[in-house]
Amino acid sequence: MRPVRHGLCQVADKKGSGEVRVALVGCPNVGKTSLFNALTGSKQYVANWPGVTVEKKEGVFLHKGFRISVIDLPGTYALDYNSLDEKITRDYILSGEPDLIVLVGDSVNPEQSLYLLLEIVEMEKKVILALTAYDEAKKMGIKIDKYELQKHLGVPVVLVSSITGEGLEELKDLIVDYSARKGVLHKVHLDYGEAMEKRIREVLNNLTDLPIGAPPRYFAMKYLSGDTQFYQEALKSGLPELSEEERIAFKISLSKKKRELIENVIKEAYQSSEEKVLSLSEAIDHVLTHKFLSFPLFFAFMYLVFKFTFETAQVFSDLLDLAFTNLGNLLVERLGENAISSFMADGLISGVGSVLTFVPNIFFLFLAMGFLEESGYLPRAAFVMDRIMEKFKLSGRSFMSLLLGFGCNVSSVMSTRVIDDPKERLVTILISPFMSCSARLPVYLLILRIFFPHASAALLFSLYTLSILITLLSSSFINWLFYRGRSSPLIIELPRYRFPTFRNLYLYTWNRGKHFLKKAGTIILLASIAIWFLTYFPGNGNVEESFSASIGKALTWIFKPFDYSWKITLSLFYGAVAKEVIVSSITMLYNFDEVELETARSVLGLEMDPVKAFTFLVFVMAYIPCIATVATIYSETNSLKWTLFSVLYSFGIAYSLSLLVYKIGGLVVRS
Amino acid sequence: MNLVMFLLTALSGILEFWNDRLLGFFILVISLVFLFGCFEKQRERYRAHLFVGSVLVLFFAGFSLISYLVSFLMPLLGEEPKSLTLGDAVLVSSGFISILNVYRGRRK
Repeated sequence: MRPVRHGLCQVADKKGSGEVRVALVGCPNVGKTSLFNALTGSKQYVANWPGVTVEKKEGVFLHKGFRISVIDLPGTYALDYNSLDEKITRDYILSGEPDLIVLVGDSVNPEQSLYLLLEIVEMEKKVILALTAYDEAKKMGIKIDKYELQKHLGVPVVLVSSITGEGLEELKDLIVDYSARKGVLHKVHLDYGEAMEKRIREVLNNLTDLPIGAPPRYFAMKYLSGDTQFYQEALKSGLPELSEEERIAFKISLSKKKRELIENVIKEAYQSSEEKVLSLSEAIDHVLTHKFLSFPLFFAFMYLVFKFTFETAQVFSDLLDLAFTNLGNLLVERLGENAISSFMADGLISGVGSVLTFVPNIFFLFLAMGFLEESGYLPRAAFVMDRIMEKFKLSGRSFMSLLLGFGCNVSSVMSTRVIDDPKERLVTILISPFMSCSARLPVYLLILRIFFPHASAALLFSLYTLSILITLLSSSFINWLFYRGRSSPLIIELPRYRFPTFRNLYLYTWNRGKHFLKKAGTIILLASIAIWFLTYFPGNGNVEESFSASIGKALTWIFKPFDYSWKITLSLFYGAVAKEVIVSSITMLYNFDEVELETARSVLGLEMDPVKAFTFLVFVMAYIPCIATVATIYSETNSLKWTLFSVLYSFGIAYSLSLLVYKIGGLVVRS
Repeated sequence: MNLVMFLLTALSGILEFWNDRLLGFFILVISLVFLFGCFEKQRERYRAHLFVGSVLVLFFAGFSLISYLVSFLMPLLGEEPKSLTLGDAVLVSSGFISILNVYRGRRK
């Protein structure tokens, strides 16, 4: 590999513009979001991309009179246009919208980040290399010569730590300084050797126009390596077809040359003071990905998470519940028993309060999951589960998407965009709603506390395990039904283990938990008002003569085999809007406060026994996705057929499975 | 040290098993980390088992301790606070030893 040649640096003042758009690009798990937060502070917000609904973060900060907008793009290992994330990132970079790109790389393992950097450099974009986790590199005895990196790569390099704040001011200064200049600052020309350069020159000579707006050399290289987008565009503009062998060979050579360069650069710029037989991460991995221990340890972690969610958080939930109950009673006492006090106490406070009492459980769940994710364990779990997932025609990458479903099925469905294989992606979208989301947790907790007070944590764990099992079996079934294909291999860069920082844990828990609070203040509030109205009128508080009773009684035939009362049937019907609404419906229809468990048990016990109660939970675990998830499935698949399939299939599975549980449970109890 | 930790953790797993089957079972799973460590010939790997096993014991012991402390809020709901079982006590003791193991493991 010949040395890199630096081009001309054309410098000019950028007049009349105090605004700069900076795109953060980088591989997943390099600390991109941490850097984004460190740069933008509390001004960040989440926005949708125009046209596509990928979640990106955009934040703003002011520095030296400049208003700097930072766009945190989805993490990607390459810009090959294979997955949706790669497409979005590349299109955005090539669009010319960002004034500057900050390539976020990992100080300790910079190889893949430098690979990504070289590609952006070839796009002839203004780019700064920000190597994060510099504090960790120093702790590990790694010395980085940033001037050596700058010399070889032709881009400015900043060593930063989002935790200690080191290098952040330097990065901000650099952003402002570069944005005030025009043109490409560091035009780098990587020399790939005579044979490849000759091929590139031949293509350049035949190139008449550039339909995508990329630099000619970059376009030629992408065409020669058979890039999906560029190759098609090149054929349209008259370039000849290439054999598959030729394209693959060029792509491999291109990658090999880049890897060689990166290896040399790292050799020159990196110095490690200590040679350990096993690093801390390797030592932990030796045990957590152990041949025999990895699976039981994964389940041990999951069990502890649910135990923590149920047992530790329960006291706080009960205290909240007590507060809402007292508030309701106080209102009735003050206002007397009439329609207004009923609306306030039974409609608003009981309806929304019954859901809000589970806020501690949900926040504890996210705190525990956040700890596992931030520590770096969850990617290992995906790696460990890959062996099992393969048997169900999925990969560990699907597992990562599915795990998000424990929080919210909407984010789970959206996160499937990182899955390259369209078939695997579709299957993952269709099975995602079976992962037990946090909205279902309040329903589980309510029923478990009433009917199974001494085995709640164990049954909660079993419901979550069952949801994973149904998800995996559904994958096999859908694959068998439509594709009969194989899963794609999992290629994942395992991040280092880290002790989660308080700030990151707080952000993780709050960002996910606030979604639940927002729902309580919007959908659940509106649903509670509607349910109260339907339950209060026209019988003036007599539930049996209400609109709800008419609707519920008209629907009971659906659950005749389960012998569900109209109230239970109606709560499932209302729950189609959002699963938490089931809790509001039950408390309003049966008119009890959760804190009075004995009352709740005696009221619900008239219509439900423990078998029926568990059957109900199994049904809630699997039945149709909420409206938001259905809408997301539609927007992601762009197909009414698959959306309808998802709804009908999940209903069918929920119905059959709960019927099975009901029959078997009945037999066991009777014997 | 792996052997000592295995015995302690297995004991607390067995004791917990009578109160909470699943919790006891998973503590026994954790004890296997130390047991497998006993058979490691390479020093680094032996230490890796001790370190990771101790971190896991810390999680479980921490959970027991937090649950116990939080239960002091229960009188506000008119209920009795939780009492520490023998299994919990052994687990928390293992947790204290684990702190030392983790501290030493990180330094090495």
